[in-house]
Amino acid sequence: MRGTSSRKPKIGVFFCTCKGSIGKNVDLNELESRVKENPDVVLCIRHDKLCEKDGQAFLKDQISNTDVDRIVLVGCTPRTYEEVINKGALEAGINRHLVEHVNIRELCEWIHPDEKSATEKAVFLVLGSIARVAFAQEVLDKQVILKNNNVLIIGGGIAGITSALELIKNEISVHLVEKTDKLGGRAYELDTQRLSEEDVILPNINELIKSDKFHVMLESEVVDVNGTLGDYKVKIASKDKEEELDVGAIVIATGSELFDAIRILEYKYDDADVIDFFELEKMLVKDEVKVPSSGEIPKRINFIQCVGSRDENKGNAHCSLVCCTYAIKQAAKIKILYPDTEVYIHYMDLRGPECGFEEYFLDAQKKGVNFIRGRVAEIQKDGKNLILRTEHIELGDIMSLPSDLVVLSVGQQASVETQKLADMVHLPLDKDGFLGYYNDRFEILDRRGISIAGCAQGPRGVARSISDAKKAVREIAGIMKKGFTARSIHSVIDETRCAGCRICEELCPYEAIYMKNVKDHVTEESRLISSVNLAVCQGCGACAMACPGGVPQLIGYSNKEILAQIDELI
Amino acid sequence: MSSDSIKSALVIGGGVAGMQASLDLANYGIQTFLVERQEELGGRAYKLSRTYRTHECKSDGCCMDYCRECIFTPKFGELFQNENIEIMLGTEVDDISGEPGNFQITLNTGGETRNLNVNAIIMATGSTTFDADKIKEYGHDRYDDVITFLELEKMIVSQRGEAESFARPSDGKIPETVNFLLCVGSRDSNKGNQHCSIVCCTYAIGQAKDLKTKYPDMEVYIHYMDLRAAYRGFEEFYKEAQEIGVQFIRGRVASVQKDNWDLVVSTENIDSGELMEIKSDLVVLTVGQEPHRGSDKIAESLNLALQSNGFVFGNGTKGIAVAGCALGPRGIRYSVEDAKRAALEIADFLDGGEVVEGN
Repeated sequence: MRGTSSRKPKIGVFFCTCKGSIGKNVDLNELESRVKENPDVVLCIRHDKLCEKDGQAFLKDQISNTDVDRIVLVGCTPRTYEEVINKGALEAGINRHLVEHVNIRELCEWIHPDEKSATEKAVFLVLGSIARVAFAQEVLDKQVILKNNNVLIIGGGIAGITSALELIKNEISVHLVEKTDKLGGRAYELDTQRLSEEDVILPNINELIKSDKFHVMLESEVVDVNGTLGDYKVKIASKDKEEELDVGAIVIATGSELFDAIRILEYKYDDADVIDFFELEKMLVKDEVKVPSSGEIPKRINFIQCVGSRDENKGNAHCSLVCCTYAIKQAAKIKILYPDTEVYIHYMDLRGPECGFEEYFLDAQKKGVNFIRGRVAEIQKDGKNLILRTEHIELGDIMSLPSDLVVLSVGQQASVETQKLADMVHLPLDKDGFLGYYNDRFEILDRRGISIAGCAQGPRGVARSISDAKKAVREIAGIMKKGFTARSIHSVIDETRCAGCRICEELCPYEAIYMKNVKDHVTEESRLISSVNLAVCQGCGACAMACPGGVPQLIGYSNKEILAQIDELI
Repeated sequence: MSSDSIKSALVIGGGVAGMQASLDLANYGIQTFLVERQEELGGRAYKLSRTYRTHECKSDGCCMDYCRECIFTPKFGELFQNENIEIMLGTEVDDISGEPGNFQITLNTGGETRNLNVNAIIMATGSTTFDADKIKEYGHDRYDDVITFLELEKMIVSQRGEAESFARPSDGKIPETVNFLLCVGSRDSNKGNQHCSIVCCTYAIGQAKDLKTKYPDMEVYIHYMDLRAAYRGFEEFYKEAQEIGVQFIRGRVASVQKDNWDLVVSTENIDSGELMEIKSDLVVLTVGQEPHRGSDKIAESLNLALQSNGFVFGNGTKGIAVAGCALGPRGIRYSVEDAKRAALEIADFLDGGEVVEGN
């Protein structure tokens, strides 16, 4: 690492012409001559393509052959190329805080067609960055190790179980909180025909229970979550007691819940012979289907798809993905059990996102399952018989179908628990009320050590829940075992100058600032001052703005740097 | 050739899945060889003008175009710079032998062969699109203005930046009526493949929306069987398309013929039962995905079983992982997810210490 101790900064300026695409509107010669006037600039050089292998080698060569200690890279957008181009500079021993990236391609070359204004703007931008980098200070990366390595898993469904297993394999202690009195969730109740991976549930549970790193709390609920990555304090209420757990990270695997069909009055879910697919599944596990009211084998069964799905007025706008596959599976099995029973499936669009669905669908058709396109209008009761009123969209007919048993394929929706929990840990819900795509969008640090697994992210099948959970947990395991590198931009508080007024603590949107006791260096009395939790600080700068004494400073954005840059720009 | 301590892996295929898998493997400290048959990386995804994210992903608010340059170029940079990755373009795999932990690979770069020892393999050979010429009724082989959705993407990419032009291939006129035909070669066991390709509905709606937004007077029809993409956010995507005036007609199109000068799309609107003939200036065939030629050979030499639709079964052999469209049709997002999972599997396998020492 090169020292920056000498008073006078030695700045190297590299121009990248982006394979000749910069230089038509921006006059690079003029720009270079203006840059060279600055006494701090010791190197000013041009290259065709700094982002490629030879460009990087060139960059490293130039840095090691001269005594520059700060770099300004002038070229394209830092949004996509900053890391790629900076790499060479970092490898040559320049600290990442001493590298500035100026975009004169998008900001000057492409949008200013006349040479004068393009060049003028480029000159200001580059000189501004040179002025700024002259005041930049070297900061080394900080490695942060977490205090607490236990992980809390909320939800004992298939996603929760898989997460627990994966964590235990990595020798991390796991606390699992489950609302009901047994593990396994909805997947545990399913008949096995469609899902080959389903039979992993029971052996997995048994393996979990044997492990001494697994602590399970059944019939319990999380009521409060405080703290942050590495230091969560979670209040858990069981039947008779309330206890507090200290954990380092949290996996939310609260799953989804089934739509309550009673909300759609026309489908008469309160009638004994109108059941949802989950109740049918419980019958199919025993290989027998009976009409609940009479106990006889049904002669006509109607499946109604999209109950509460794709229906903004009475249910949810989203599609639940798995119901078409389920209904077809159930219908085909009923046809195998009772070949004489008439089976109808009323659908809007048949959707099976997985491979093999088409064969499955054709197989059901061959077995004699009838598919009718149209949303069922209502179910009427005529004496003891149920009558479905629907339109066969393809024929344009209005049909009345008598039925012994009606199965409602209810969709999945965000569970109340997920929503409560999201509130506790301050996560945004998406428009359907799920914690969707949260894992993919944000790094584990940005998520404060919270991962989402399974149906809490949105409707999905067993197989995807399992692979989801494995991926979500892998990140947590890494951070629990090895710690992490703190963000390069974060707030720093000078302990001797902080007066402990707590303005920044209240203001910080990420709750990254906490108060700690220190001994005053003059009076030797103990007093409270603010301190920054590096695991959480996002480098937003709110504390730096608010402090009446200007004590917190954002690395890379100190007042000196910013003012120097502004001076050049105006 | 493989040294004692450094573990190595071969990634076959340089599409999005192969690229992501290579990057992840390299980041796990595994020496990675990336082999691509074509002369450039990026696969089919690189040919698209932009990716259609439905409402599921709006985290990145500053640019909604997601042009390929923004997504791919930095990735290419990372790949070519990474010291753990060796990229071999224009190279095919001739032979694979050995066992998990110690595979012997013969590579062929334009006639030159090279032998390689690796500890693990990721197969990311991808899929190919259905050849629209096989369905004669749609006239892809006869009429210039019947194009596949990839050709439409190519048109959009090549005409990007030119002022407001969207010229059809035959005479350079801006089409007034465009028909999108879905499920071309999909869900059709007689002339094409039985499986559904999952991504085509989203793509067609995305393209139709783009056209309709750019040219509000253009008549845009989408002929579909079932509207499928069930992923979240799609429902709103679909509704938006309906609201801006894209017309959805349910029914498989019978034929596309030329009547004097115009193309005529003949179909039955299943919902209303009427037979329709729509004059069309441009017909876009949304062809499905099917297994890549040559991927079955590789699957065989890796002892991987094939599904009934010709795609590869992913699970099974240790030290071998499959990612991306080789497993079946899927979109970019799922290919990338797959690749991350596959790289994890391989890293776990190689971590497990079951590496058989090389010769």
